[in-house]
Amino acid sequence: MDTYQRIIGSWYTLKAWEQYDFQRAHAEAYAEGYNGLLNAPTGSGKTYAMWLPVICNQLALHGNTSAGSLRVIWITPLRALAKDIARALQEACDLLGLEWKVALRTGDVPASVKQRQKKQMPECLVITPESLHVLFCDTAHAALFADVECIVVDEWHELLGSKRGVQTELAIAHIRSIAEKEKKNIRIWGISATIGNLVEAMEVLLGPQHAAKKSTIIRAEHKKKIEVHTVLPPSIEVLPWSGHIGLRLLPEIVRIVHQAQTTLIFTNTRAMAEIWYHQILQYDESLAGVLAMHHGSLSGEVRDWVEENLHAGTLKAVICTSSLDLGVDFRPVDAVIQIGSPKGVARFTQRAGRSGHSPGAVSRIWFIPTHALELVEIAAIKEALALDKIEKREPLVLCFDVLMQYLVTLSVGSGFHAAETFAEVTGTHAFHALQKEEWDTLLLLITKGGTAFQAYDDFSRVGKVGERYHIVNKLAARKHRLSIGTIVSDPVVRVAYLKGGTLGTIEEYFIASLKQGDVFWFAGNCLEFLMLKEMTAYVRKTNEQKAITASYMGGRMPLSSYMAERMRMQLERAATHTTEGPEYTLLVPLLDLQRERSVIPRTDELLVELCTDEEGTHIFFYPFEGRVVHEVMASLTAYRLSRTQPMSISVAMNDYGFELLCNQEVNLTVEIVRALFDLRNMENDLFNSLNATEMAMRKFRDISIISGMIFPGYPGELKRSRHLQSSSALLFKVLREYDPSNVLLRQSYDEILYGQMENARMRGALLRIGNSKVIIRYTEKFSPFAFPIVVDSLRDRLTSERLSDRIKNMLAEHH
Amino acid sequence: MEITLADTSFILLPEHAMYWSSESALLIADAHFSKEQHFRKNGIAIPGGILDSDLKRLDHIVSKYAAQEIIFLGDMFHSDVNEGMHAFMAWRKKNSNIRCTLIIGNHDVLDMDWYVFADIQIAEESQRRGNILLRHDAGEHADGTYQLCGHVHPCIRLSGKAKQSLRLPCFYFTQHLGLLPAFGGFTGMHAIKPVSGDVVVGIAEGDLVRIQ
Repeated sequence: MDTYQRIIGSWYTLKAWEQYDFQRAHAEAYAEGYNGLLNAPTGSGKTYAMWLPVICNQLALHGNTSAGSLRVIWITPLRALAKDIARALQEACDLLGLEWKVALRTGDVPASVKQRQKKQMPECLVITPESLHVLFCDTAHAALFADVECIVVDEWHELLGSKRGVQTELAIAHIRSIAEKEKKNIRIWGISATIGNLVEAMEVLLGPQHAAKKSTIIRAEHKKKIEVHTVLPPSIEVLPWSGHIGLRLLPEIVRIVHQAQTTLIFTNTRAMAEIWYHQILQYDESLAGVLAMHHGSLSGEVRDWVEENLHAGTLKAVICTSSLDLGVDFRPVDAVIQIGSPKGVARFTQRAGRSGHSPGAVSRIWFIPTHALELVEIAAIKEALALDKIEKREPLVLCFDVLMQYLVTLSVGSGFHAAETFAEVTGTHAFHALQKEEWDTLLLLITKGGTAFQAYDDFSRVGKVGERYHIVNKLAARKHRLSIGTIVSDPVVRVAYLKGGTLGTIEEYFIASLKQGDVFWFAGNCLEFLMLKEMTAYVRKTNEQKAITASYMGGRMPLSSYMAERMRMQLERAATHTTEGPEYTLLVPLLDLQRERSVIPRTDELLVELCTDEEGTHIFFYPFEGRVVHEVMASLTAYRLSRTQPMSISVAMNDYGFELLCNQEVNLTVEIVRALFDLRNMENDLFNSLNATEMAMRKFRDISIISGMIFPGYPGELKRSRHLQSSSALLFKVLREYDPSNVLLRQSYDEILYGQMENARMRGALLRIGNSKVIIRYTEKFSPFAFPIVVDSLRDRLTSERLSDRIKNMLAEHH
Repeated sequence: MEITLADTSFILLPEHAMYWSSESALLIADAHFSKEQHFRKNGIAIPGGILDSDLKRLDHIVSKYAAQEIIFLGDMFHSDVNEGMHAFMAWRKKNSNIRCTLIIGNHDVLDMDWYVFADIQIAEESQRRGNILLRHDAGEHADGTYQLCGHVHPCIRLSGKAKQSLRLPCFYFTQHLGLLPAFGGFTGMHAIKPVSGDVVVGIAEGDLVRIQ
């Protein structure tokens, strides 16, 4: 241990940095062979805190010469982070005189380099979960991992709660079982920002059995100070809707940018980023050349350029989306601007933390509201920060699609032994409750293509040779390698100039809506659409200013449950005038209008508004539970309402409430409303409601791709392989009709019932509403609360009318 | 429901087919037979039973109209030879008295020998019978003829109060061109945009509905 501290101490002296207590504590824990979680904010030196003890362990036990085999796997969620991390890890080895090689292995690394790596592995690989699984496709991968001593999972809080997290759990279990066969001990460490359930996060990372053994959580004691400023406009839109983006505060934003050294400006959507980029440059031409943009649709080169210049300090400001939420510190950044609600405390803190990196520096963040209710949201965030409260990340369980993909991956590699792999898989948190029957069903699905007896069949994917399962279809093996991963995005096309040069990618459905000659904003340029050819949209620059902004999906982040609860309390205080402050002064007109047209609900009240127009009967409910809960709650109540009389309902929601738009007249009483939110029979009605809407079908989209039912196209594809293409909607229809008990179909329901909706959260909400006073108001015009829901175009539909009646009505309305 | 096209009369069937009385022939477009088997052969676990139910539906209309011929307007089989051919051949043997004609579509990639073996008459691109021109994918209009085609898998989108909308598979007839709905149970749909004067007949839960 003394040797450790001496070496590590020399490092901090060399760097002239102060060594913090948590860094010392982690070095001790690592030396003693602990597994665990390192909890530290960005900019606290967590990478080195993690890495130095690994180096010390090596120097103390084996000396400074190269090891000749892979020793450490460093898993990172983002390809973009990998390069900087690898650089930092290598630098530390060099400085401390350890002859180790640190190398990247991500989707960006050329195949030739990967081949060389397989012959001679570096001592440390920096890798994404997907690329790690691709390595499992190698027949000899067990030998590659035989000497691994430590797996580090960076930014574990980002992976937790996603299918990539499940993928990471499976990879850890697999590598650990390889090490155990070699009778070797392996250390597992996660690095995580603060979340509400750190202990659970560690248990998920290590697996329930291993977490009970030698494990610990090391927390950085020092908290980075956050300074939150709300930029208040002289007045604000009373009717909040997505069309308003707060441009009125443009001069204020430019002023902040000029005062700071470098500013990161976060928007919630890519489309928003494009608008602001354009607006700021128009307002202040002096920023041309030093203002840049960074979002997921831009090409890798553009993003690399932006990141390098952020490091170098040559940029004044960068407008970005969640694409810059994570990553190594950009030291020059000393101010952050958040436009629109961040919808969660964790995200807000993370973004604020991107500024102020010198020791003792304060993170400074300016919040720009885009509509009035966001003022309530920021008040809720400030309160949470003061109370030191932060959201949980709920881990996923029983993702059959991910497991199916993993089993095929193993079968493509060295094959797998069913009993061994079952033990390995059920050792993870994600699959600890996996039943033997479910496991057998999955095996049948990949070997026989289902459970049903097939009269004529040559199903071919995975076969059993002796006791091991191997892939038997070469084409399927090849396609599988190319489609490993759980990030499912909308189909995209490349955006390129006719004369050459790629700008980035854009969702196909947006391009499909363009006609030749249409003009749109992308990558900060005003572009004229010329043609779509072989998955590339050709464009040329134009000076025409009447452009439409590319509408990107994504970025519709739901309000967290914690924030939702705070919102209800903040609103009550505003309504009862028991709180003060400039934010609330601005809210007065909105609250007055709400009162004039309807009422402001207290925390123990459920407000229901009815408004009739030519569209039908609009019924609004305001549980203030966040979009995720509202989506399921709307489906449940729509189903129950449709049982009272034949009607067709379309459903819309936001974070504050939801709308049932009915094509029939509805007479609502307090009793009927109570029945709609009744806790009894919830599960059964929910299941039926999901059957009636398209929610499950939308969930099935990702599942069908991850489980390998849909092959994404790949370069050099034969014409005939198009014969294997189908849409997830079609597969969903066919499965529902011909194999209703299919395990993947079931997963799409379960993801809504147990995953997305968080059953407990739903029960809690229904219980709370059950104890609330129901207030029904008939309104002449939409209230300020109702307005943003009405304009939402994303809708789900449900009906209890006969198809023939619906057609008759629709035809009659049009004639 | 009857319809007259270029002085020739047809019966529209809710089973996704048309009956041509004077020819005693059934018209079937985009059957995509044995598509499920093709997917399964390539390791995609599509449940069985689709082909069986398609052939049953075919049996039903053949006997109901005592059809002597079936004209497939292309995309009869989805892809290469696979295990689904056994089921088809069993059906063919039982119905050996029925003439089968196939207008080749983009999915019809089987060897010609196979069609001979299965006793299916082939028309490469189109076949003209009287004023009616049968094709898979619509071609240029020729005077005095009416084209009947498949390929599109047409459906009609209806919308109504309370932002309701639904899609129905449909028959679609313009002045010179008629499209049949896809016959196969494992096929998608493509929405058409009719203009005034066009005839659209939707299929809703086994019933024909005149949309316009």
